Amino acid sequence: MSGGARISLDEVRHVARLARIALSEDEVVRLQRELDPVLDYVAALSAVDVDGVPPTMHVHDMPAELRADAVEPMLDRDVALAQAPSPEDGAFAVPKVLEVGG
Amino acid sequence: MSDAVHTLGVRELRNLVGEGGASVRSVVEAHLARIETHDVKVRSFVHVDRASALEAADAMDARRKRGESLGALAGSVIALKDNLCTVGSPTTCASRILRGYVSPFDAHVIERLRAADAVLVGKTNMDEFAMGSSTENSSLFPTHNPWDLERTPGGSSGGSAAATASAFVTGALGSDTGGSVRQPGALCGVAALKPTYGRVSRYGLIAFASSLDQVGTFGRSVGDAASIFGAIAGHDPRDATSVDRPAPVLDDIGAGLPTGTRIGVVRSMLAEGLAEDVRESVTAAIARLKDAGAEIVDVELPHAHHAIAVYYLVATAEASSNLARFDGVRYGHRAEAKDLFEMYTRTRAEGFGDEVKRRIMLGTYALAAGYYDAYYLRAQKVRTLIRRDFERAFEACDAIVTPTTPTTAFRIGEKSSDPLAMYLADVFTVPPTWPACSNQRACGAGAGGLPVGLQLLGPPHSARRSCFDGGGGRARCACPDSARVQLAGEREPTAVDRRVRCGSSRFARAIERRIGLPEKCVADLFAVEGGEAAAERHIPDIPGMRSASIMARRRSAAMPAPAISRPAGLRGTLHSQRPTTSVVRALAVSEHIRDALEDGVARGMPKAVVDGLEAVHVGEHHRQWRAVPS
Repeated sequence: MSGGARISLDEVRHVARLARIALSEDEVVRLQRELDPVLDYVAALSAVDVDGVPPTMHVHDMPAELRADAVEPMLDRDVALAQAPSPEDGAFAVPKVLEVGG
Repeated sequence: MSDAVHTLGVRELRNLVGEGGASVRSVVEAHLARIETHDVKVRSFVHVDRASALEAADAMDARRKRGESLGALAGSVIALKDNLCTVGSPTTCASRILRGYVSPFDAHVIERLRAADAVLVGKTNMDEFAMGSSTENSSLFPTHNPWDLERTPGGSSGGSAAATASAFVTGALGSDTGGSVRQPGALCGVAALKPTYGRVSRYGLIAFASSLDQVGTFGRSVGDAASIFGAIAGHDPRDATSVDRPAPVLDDIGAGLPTGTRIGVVRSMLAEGLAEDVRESVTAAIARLKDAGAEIVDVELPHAHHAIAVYYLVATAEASSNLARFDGVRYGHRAEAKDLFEMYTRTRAEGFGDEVKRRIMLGTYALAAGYYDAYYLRAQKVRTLIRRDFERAFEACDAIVTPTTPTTAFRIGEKSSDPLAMYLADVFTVPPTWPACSNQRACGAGAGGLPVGLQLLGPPHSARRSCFDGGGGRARCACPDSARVQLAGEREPTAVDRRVRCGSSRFARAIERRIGLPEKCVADLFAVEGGEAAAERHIPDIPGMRSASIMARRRSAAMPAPAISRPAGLRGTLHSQRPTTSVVRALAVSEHIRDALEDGVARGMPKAVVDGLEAVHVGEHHRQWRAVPS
């Protein structure tokens, strides 16, 4: 891509939203500046002939192993909640998502 | 019991404690004392589990007294990278987002180490979430290379490598996604093993890039790294990618190069983009392999130069998915926010460091609608081509040898502002990440005495083929007081060897090899008053020096770590055995030991010695000393 940047400021903002990372405007500008040369570097792959080449999604060709469909002991609830920032009534509490009632 | 128990390897320690030559407690205490004294400069640990380590040691001693036999790693003191879930100890990935997190379960490898009677002594520093090549991306502090404290130990497992090199521990665990065990192993001059993907369970290893991550081992010899690997390898149904096949037997590594081994050399990897000192050491190592009976064959990896690009798409894509779990809901940091979306975005903004954000962004971009085919899918196809290159190359040879890194250890701050330059530090370790098991050993010393690494690659599940004791060079344990290394194709020095016979013409080399004083420092010593005769005058009270032999004394915990207290290496320690004025004067000329001198002054070095010196520069942090001209 000659001239313009490979990734625009708007694209940086969009990707940050997808990635659930809050960015200040300064950070948007900085990330655009930092990601651009990396994208430029990886763009070299577009010149490689991959016609008919299958992707390697995984290193070995072994089949996925399934466990028996049986109930197994799990982490105790109190233990699981022990590290939670805001445990409540045996659950993980988070800010309200929906307004209830009204 | 040995007075330098921290210098011993896995088997020696097992024999020592197994035969009752020392208690496990005393071994652990010796290591803890070293950590306490010296890690303030290296900063390899983020958490030291003193109490639980001693408790585990006492339990083992009690079992031994009852006549029970101890496991394969009895007596070994092991450090753990901070991305391995460990009960009773924080596991933070050196990230703000996991500050204070304590895992409710042990990683598979931790269970295995405990079962083998290793004593786990603490968690080591790393690049946040294993993303980096210098350990500068830790949210806590950078770790320093014990060979030169102004340089990085590499990364991301930099803390584990530095702790092993400093003989704070017998060995350590790290994790390797694109070189994070091998590259710091090379920069710190220790052996490092990255097993074939699937060989070691990833259960309890906090995921970075799931199709690449693998737990690896560090030791000061290839044998030690292999012994620790032997303890952690094996099938685990809790990791769906764990391979169910018998673990390799690696107990004959000391026998050296198997006869008829064909070693593949990729000429293009020795041609460009390689520092001259690395090229020389690696070329010499290849020649030594040939002398040892290997058949050297040329092989080609025509697509390997695309590996970094492939890696930074595949690994970041997987990371962007894996790190989605850090959202402030179930554990770790949570930001105050008015709604759920803002809670996610602010938690992650506050909790993640810059490099982690960059990689999550890059990976999210590569997976985003409209870019997937051009970036991620294409990268996966090129990955196939690289894999085929290796399959073809391994038809012609048993193992491939390459440099581990393009340069020796770089300075702290040198690359931290240029992400791409940092990524290229992994140019030799990334390509074989998928199709090979690899191990790295020190093969020589580059400029400034910094270690140079040699990488040996074998086909999948062939640790036996690449884990032999050979190809090393003028390698030595990074810790100068240990005067011990097995990598060199040199045999283990015996007590008799330690009484190094050396006429004055061999003096420098002997000191350099046996005590680990950098060549430059020895050269400075000679420069003080002109030559070897002067050196003898400067070291009048080293036993046997006058009769052309020196005793390189080894001292236990009190001995200084590299680049911290050099002159002490000549005669024990500054505080336990007074060096003569002339020794200190001579050595003080070298910048290498200025810290040592200050250390000595702080410890109450005799005034007569101090008076013989003058500070020539008083900076913010450093004073440089030299002898007062007489």
